[in-house]
Amino acid sequence: MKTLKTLAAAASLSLLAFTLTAPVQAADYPEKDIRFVVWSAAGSPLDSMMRQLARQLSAELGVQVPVENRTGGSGAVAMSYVMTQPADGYTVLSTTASMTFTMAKGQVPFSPDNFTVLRALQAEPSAVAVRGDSDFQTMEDFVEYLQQNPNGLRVGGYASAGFHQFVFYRLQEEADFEAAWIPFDGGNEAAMALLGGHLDAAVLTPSSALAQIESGEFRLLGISTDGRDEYFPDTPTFKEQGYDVVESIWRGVMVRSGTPDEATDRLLEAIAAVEQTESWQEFMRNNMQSSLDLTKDEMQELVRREVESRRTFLENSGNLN
Amino acid sequence: MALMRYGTILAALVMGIVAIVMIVVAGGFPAPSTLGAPGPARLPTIYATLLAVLAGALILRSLFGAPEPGLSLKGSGRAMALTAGTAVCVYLWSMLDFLVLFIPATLIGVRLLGAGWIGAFIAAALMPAAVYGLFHLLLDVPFP
Amino acid sequence: MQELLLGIETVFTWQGILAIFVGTALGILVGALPGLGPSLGVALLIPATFSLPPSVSFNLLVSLYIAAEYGGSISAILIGTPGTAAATATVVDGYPMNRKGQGAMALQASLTASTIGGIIGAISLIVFSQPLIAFVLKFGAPEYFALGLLGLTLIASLSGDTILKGLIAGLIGLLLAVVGVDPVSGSPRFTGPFFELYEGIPFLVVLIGVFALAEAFTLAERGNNTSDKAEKSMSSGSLGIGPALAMFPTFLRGSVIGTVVGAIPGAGANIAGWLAYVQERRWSKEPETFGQGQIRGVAAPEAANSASVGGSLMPLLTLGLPGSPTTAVLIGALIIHGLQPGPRLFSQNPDVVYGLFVGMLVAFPMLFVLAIAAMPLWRRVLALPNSYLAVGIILLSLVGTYSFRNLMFDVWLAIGFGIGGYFLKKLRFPMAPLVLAMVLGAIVESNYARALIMSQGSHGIFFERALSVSLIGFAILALVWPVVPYFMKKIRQNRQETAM
Repeated sequence: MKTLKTLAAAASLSLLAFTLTAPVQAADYPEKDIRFVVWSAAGSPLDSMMRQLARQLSAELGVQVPVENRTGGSGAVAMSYVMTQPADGYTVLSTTASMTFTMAKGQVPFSPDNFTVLRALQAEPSAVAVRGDSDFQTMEDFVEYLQQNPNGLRVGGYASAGFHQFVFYRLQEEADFEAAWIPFDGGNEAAMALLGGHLDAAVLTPSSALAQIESGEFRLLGISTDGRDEYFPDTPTFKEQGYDVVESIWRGVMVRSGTPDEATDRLLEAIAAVEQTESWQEFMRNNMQSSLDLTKDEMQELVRREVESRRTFLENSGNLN
Repeated sequence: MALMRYGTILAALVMGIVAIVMIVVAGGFPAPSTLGAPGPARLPTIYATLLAVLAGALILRSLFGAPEPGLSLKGSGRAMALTAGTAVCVYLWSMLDFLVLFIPATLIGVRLLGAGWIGAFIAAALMPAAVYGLFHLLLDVPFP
Repeated sequence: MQELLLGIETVFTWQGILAIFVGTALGILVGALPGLGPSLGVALLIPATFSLPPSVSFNLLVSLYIAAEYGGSISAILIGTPGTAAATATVVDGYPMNRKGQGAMALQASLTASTIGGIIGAISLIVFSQPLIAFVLKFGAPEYFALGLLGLTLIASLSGDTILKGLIAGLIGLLLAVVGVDPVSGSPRFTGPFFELYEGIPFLVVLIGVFALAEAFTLAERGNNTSDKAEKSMSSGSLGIGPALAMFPTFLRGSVIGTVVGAIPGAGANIAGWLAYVQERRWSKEPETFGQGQIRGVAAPEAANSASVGGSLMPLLTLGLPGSPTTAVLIGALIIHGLQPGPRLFSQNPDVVYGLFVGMLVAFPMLFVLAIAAMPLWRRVLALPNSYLAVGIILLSLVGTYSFRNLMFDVWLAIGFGIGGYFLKKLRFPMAPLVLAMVLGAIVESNYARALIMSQGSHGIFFERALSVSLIGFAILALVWPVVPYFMKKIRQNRQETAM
């Protein structure tokens, strides 16, 4: 047993040395299969984006792009797996804005420095929804009521200390009101609770309750986009109603930092080509996704900014201990 | 009979200690962050307290209550050997190829549990290959 | 009627029938293999449906879902390992039937129950969706909490002859369920240095540990015992038409529970199976035979988990919202095909909706035929001596656990639970309460917290609405009921004494 362990340790050490010292030949990138690692379960929105991208990227680059799901630890399982792989651009990890929450919480041993976020391909806003029969017509009605009756409404949505609670917290900060957050295990559960009258308002991704919004069972009071959202043009933004809250949950891809530019440039070029195709754009429309369209450097900047703003939020909401 | 009694008492003691440790650990959890919320510690503390109490009751019952059916240790050597073998296989799995590891492992395992050589060879040829084919080849599970 | 004709037209094409055939065959496989469940199976199959018309691909995916819910019972009976989480309750009596040499009969009972239950669920989906969803929407946090509480009271009846040990096993299950980040504050609890545990200890890992691995270690003790072999040779017994018909009330009860619980988001097939199992035991005139290999203990949960498929599709069709992990994946599949799930599907894509109705009614008979054809293979497995069985179970368990999250950590965890489960079983701690409590623990805790935030900390919220009050009432009744006969006897004795 002991000798085995020594052997194994020696083997892994030499492997590590190899990956550190081996000159990375990236000029001909890609010359072998590129692996996609997805940190959410098969069939989730992130997974379906990654699989669509893998298929199209495979056609674009002429190599196979197999997809592996490695869930757990709010993405940390996949991140630590990727950290054991060489930084050569042949292992690409999925990423979302939720990563910045996990990093801000300090629960995982990774920071934005460990990765280079290449591109955010999809982005979705958050919106405040009430039932169609509610008295609240605008954000102002809603905010005024909560200002006069602190904690007087039951408001909730997907996850605690996550994106939707963050948007709600930003609204509270902007408009100075008080309301507790009721976390649910999924946006669908929050939508059901709103529908059944167990919540007064839900903060959710509008596309996830599309049927209710279209039928008028839900009314969106405001949405977190900068201008009017392309899929919900009738919904006034928070911003135009006087609350400067512009946030989106994005999904994209990243690699280990230190990956040679030849590889990342080629990947970005191929991704840009995929984004131009009609089939990708149709996929985006069907899933009601917008594009963030930021360069690689702007992405790194965004990630760092988000980690900072989220840390403040977590500290103030008592979720950071 | 005595074996069952001592075994039960030992298990109850372990559970009681784990429960108390959990209560202590839960005492260090942060206070509720949201108005009205029970906080991270409330339910674990309740469950662990109940467990500690019931574990105590079980010790008392084992000492003074009606005796339970006996416990046989027959064949537990084989069970231990299989457990240890399983753990070794899992340890080696990260380093060796699935088939390279599990074909001999199956052979040894089946032999250890009393099957004949011929059966063991057939099993070693078929079972790992079937699992490999189904999970890795057909369903694309990325093995370590 | 017009619409059903449209459905028939959609399904009865060579492509439509072939899709259901392929979906069913793959579903049985995915269900029977531990670690892979219906949601993963459906997700893996989605890319294969891109070139198919939406109605055909939806039927392909749903028939996989249907067959996987049945497939879980095969490994539950053959090797004492639930192939899917929903087949957990099936193990409790299915595996003992196998050990008694009635494995074939158990398999037939589970298949019959699944087929009938599934058809009842499908018909309910067609007929009762609207009223049932209206009922389900009444479930707020207090009601979910009360439902979980009601489920927990069932532990006493699953404990066999050792109630104290059963309750302890239940508490261990509840404590396992609190590991991971707290649902409200997000702070990690009892996770140590392992971020692999943030989402909690995976239920499936515990299942494989305490059922499959613990069973393999127990089998190893016996070696290739001759008395065991003698029992095994009798496993040719089969379930006649008469006994099958006599079980119809069982199928019906299981199906009703399965449909309703399946429609409640977050509850699902697993809890449906347990509730059906315990209800069946309560209805039975010989409850003491449950857990020893009672055939109705196999039929009831299997009818329920298959019926839950119809139930779980109700929120998808009427609200466009997923009620379970599998239906969430199905919604993703619909969106990829450019369809909008929800009530508008009825008007915009009637071929998909009515094709689904007809397709489900075809899929269950298809499942029956395919599963019957596979029976000889299972009989082979039933006849395997212990040594092969034990090693085979370990192989399947290790690979199944790994493939669940592609994570070695889970495999080590499963071995830990296997060793713990082995010792606890030897000491006559029942394992069913442990896994049931673990399932319910998550529902109980997150809804307890949610309700208290809604009421700003007042427990009065659990007694405000009729539904939660009556669920809590049932829970109390379920606790008190088993001891009522005992007290009645005491009272009667006292009266007789005073009369004398």
